Amino acid sequence: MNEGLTYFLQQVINGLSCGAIYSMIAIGYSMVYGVLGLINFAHGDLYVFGTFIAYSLIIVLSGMVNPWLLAIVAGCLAGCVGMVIERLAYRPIRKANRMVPMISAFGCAAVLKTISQAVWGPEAISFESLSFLPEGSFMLGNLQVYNRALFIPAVSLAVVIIMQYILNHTKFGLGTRCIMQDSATSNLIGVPSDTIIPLIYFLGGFLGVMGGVLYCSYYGYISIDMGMLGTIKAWAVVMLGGKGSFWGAFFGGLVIGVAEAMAGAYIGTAYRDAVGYIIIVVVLMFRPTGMFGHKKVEKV
Amino acid sequence: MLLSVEDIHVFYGPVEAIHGVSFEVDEGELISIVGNNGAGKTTLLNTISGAMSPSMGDIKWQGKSTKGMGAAQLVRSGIAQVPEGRMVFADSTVYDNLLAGAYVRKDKEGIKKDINTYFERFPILGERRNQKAGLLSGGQQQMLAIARALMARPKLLMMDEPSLGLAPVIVSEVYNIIEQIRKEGTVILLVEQNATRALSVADRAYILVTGEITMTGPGKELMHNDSVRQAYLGV
Repeated sequence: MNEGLTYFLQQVINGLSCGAIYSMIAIGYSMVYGVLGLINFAHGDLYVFGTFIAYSLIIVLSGMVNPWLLAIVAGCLAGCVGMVIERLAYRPIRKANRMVPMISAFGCAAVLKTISQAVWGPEAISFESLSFLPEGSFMLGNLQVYNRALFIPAVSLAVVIIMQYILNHTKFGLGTRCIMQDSATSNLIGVPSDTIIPLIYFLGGFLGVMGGVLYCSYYGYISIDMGMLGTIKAWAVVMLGGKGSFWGAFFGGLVIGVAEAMAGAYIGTAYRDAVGYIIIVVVLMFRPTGMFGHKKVEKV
Repeated sequence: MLLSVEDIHVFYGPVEAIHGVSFEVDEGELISIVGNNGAGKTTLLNTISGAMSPSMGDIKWQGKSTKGMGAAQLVRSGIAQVPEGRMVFADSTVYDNLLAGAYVRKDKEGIKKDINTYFERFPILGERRNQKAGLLSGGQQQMLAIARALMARPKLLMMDEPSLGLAPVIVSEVYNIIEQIRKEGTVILLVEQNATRALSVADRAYILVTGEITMTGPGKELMHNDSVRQAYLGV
């Protein structure tokens, strides 16, 4: 294999792991977006907050408990915070103009970020020693494949399959699909949106932390600045994949991850983060429903 | 009395849409409320369903105030609604629409049985059970919306303009179904702009004009009332 091709494939592999992480963060975001049409600007700061909690739990209980178990505990806590945010900051203004909950979301993001900063400080903290990802690598021809590069997409894929199963085969899933299409009618026919929507926020926070743990492990640090960046990435993934679609979030994440890796490799690392923004603009211009999104059928 | 609405006032945003409306629905009845666009018909139904709440007055369902009961709770207690414009879940299959209608129920076997019953009753729904509801015609969607509401096994079925946007021959079909449902023992509260149809099937009817009830009486009687004929029947 020539060197150029090896380099290209290496970048694709890197991009896929990175993209699979974006997918994880975006799935929960996508559910909330799909259900409420709300750009949840608090999502990023919530997952960072939860990931910080996971970090602290691991440090405090150093080595005594499996880190993934603690990440799940932290995910549940973040999920509960998500439910509280829904109850206090979104539900009272659910019927207001769309701008109102968006501003409320910004407020929640600021509060979460400030709390994180007060507790864990403004500096980046190393995530290196926390063993969330499998170590080691193997050679595939000239390509060096890290085990984690297989592990991360596998976790992400498993989560999508599980979520898709829940959506299609459980009562909660049935209710979620109804509310995504028309929450007013759902209420009228007995689907209790005030029970289901908090659960969706819980899942959003929980899966966000799972993604956050992978994200921080992959880059080797955690910092309060990851919140807004995470929100924008998740937004781009959901715009590309179509809101409310799990497979859309999965493939949207992979596409953005690979596109970023390409931009980083061939244009310059400074351009990586621009990719997300460019994708948002392009999708909004040419295909506002995304790759997997449905147009809402509106008949009067 | 199954349902009694007692002098309710309801605001729709900053506007008071219902100014002190009272009426009653008893076991075995089919009641129509007739009114023009903007008279407050949908607001009235949505208030009974618990989606909106009255600023004054009370609604009693089987003798108990419904204050503080959420919409889902009211469905569980026996009030179901066929919303204006049908509002089937267009991206879900016909089957899932019916399943959603039974969301408040827990008897899995009974739910399956009921779905099959409605598939026999409306064969077109059975044939298209795995198709998306958005692909059905307007009339078929109306059948689906009615069946979906009945899946909750309600005592009271509220229907918001079931004739809206349907061809006359389909409207007749829908009204045949309404009379059939009523014969099977479900109480019906019908809200309509189409006065001819609504009055002809009603035991009793109320005329709603800009948020107030101006007239009441047996359906057939109102049909022959001169002012009703002028205002609603175009005669």
